[in-house]
Amino acid sequence: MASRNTIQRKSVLPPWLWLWLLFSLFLTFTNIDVRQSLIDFLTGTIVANSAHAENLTRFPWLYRIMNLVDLWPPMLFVLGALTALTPQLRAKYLEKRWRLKGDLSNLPPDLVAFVRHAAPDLQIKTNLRRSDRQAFIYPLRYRKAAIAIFRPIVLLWYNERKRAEAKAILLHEIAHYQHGDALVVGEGSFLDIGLNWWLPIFLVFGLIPMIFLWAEQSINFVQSSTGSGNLSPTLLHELIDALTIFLPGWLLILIEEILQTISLILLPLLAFWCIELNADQAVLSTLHSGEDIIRALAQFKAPSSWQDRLFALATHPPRSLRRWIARNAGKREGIWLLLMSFPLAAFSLLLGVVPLFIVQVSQESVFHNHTDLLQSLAVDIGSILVNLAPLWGVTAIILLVWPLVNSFWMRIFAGPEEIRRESQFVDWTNYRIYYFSACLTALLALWGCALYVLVQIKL
Amino acid sequence: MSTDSLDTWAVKLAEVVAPEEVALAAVTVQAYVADGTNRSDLFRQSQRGTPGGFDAGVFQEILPYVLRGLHSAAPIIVPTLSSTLSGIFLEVVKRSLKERNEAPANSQSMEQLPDDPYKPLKQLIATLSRELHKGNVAEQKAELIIYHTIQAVLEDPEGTRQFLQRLSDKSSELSGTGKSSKPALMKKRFKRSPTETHQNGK
Repeated sequence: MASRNTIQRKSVLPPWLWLWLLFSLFLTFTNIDVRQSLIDFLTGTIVANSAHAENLTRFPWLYRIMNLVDLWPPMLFVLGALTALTPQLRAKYLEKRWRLKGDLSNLPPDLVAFVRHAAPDLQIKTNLRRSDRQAFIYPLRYRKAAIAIFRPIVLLWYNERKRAEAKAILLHEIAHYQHGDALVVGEGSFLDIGLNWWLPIFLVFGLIPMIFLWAEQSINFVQSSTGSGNLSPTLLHELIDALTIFLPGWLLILIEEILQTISLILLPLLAFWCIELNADQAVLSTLHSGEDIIRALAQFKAPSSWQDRLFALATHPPRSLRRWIARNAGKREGIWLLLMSFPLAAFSLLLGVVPLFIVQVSQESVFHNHTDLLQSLAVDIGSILVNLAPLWGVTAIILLVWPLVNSFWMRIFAGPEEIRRESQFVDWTNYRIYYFSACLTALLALWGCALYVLVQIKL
Repeated sequence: MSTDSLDTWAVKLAEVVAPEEVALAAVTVQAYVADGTNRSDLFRQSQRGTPGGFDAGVFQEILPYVLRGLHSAAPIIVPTLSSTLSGIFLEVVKRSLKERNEAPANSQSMEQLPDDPYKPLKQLIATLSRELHKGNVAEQKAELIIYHTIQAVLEDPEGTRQFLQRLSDKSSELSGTGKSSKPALMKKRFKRSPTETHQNGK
């Protein structure tokens, strides 16, 4: 068994965040709805082509800006991906924002030696005034990264009783660097921005223009009816319409937007949780115990308000889950959960079907019978599963080969000294679990393909 | 006050009020005196996580809040240090700390002291208490920290006076540029009742 000081370079989980990033970019650029919304927003083609729109409103541009609600998530995905392509820009931004300096004079020399021993090519930057951050990793160039160290790490390090916690946190960050997370974690900032601005964007570019256009149409209608002297019945008619058709319609749109956002966010969210849990696993491999991670988590006061707790979940898994995984390190159930969490989280995209189904139920008269309704639901679910089939297929292949290519992946992000020092290895530990997880995921992919064939035959 | 003596004063203060922060006491006091973003960094309590970080959450700190408390209470502290009250207050604080060590359950709060001549002491306690409350320090712990802070301040009047003088110099330096180095609490006090603050300083 390796000693407690031997740094274990190991990545239990494949790079799901990288995979999600590529998958989301693929979906964004191939999704016909996204392309249509973009064309419509930029050119106003649909509005211009629609004779009705021109006649019904004096503000046709409102229809154009409403596309922003649908374009908001893909826009953030693309911007997040761009941060991976421009690490230098991200480094400049982060160093300015967090006021990071390369002056190590106030760091304990043994802390610097510890980091240098674990990751010789990792640069160290500090801001020893802030205590609301511990440490984080960020890219400087493609194969160069830095660790930002904040006040709590130094204070924990100087405290003999708590130095193990400081080491656990530093090892967690170093694992992020070794796993190649530094280049893609920038996507998390956009996930955070997306959540932060979702409601204002929906209200300003979605609901308010919609209500405005409805009000304009109603006023036009009432004014045209005034001439015929039927004002009271017209107003009553509009009021009934507002309460029975428009208001429930708006609520439905709100629910649809919320569910679609959740369905889009859950997969990247889980990919983020996976990189965190994977970094914890690397700490466990080095320290042979999860206790230091658990104690390190307890050093920081958890967010108190529900908003902060929600936003904290955008970048890190709940502490209870991290503690459970830390306690069950090396046990079968813990590894199963880790390996299958990402493939299973892909099912969250099915949430997008719910609002479609609600619309269909509310318009049940359109369908001849319940069989039609269920058939339509099956087609909706099938189309999503078909889209997921390539993701599951790739996931299954990655799971199957991951223990074999694990160390090669980490070499891509390692610096020259780290490459010189490390050797490639094949990690056969728990390979059976990887194998069966790959088989299960492959079955999911086949299921998606089978549905695709069935839908094609049916159509 | 030279940088070195300011650092020494901060380290001595940290040794009694926040022993776990001694290692960064010099960094803390320099950042506080520097003002601007350096100072505000000490008080940031954002509870949201950073992608690629360890976790969301704030680390419990004491020293920055003690420094801000002393800064806020400067109009009370400066006249006290150069008066005979200094010795009386020091005796009261020492006695109180001794009582707390011997029989914590029976120890009495200083709030029960008469206003004459203890009003400045009670105001100083209230100011420090408000600051520590902002730093989310538990009430019981805060009370002990306050007594230790007052003891350290009164036992090293020269160091404390020079720390406050340094802040005052910085404040006048910045007032020429239209900025202010007064902590938010102090600004509020002046805004609410300038005469009251002035009287406190007598």
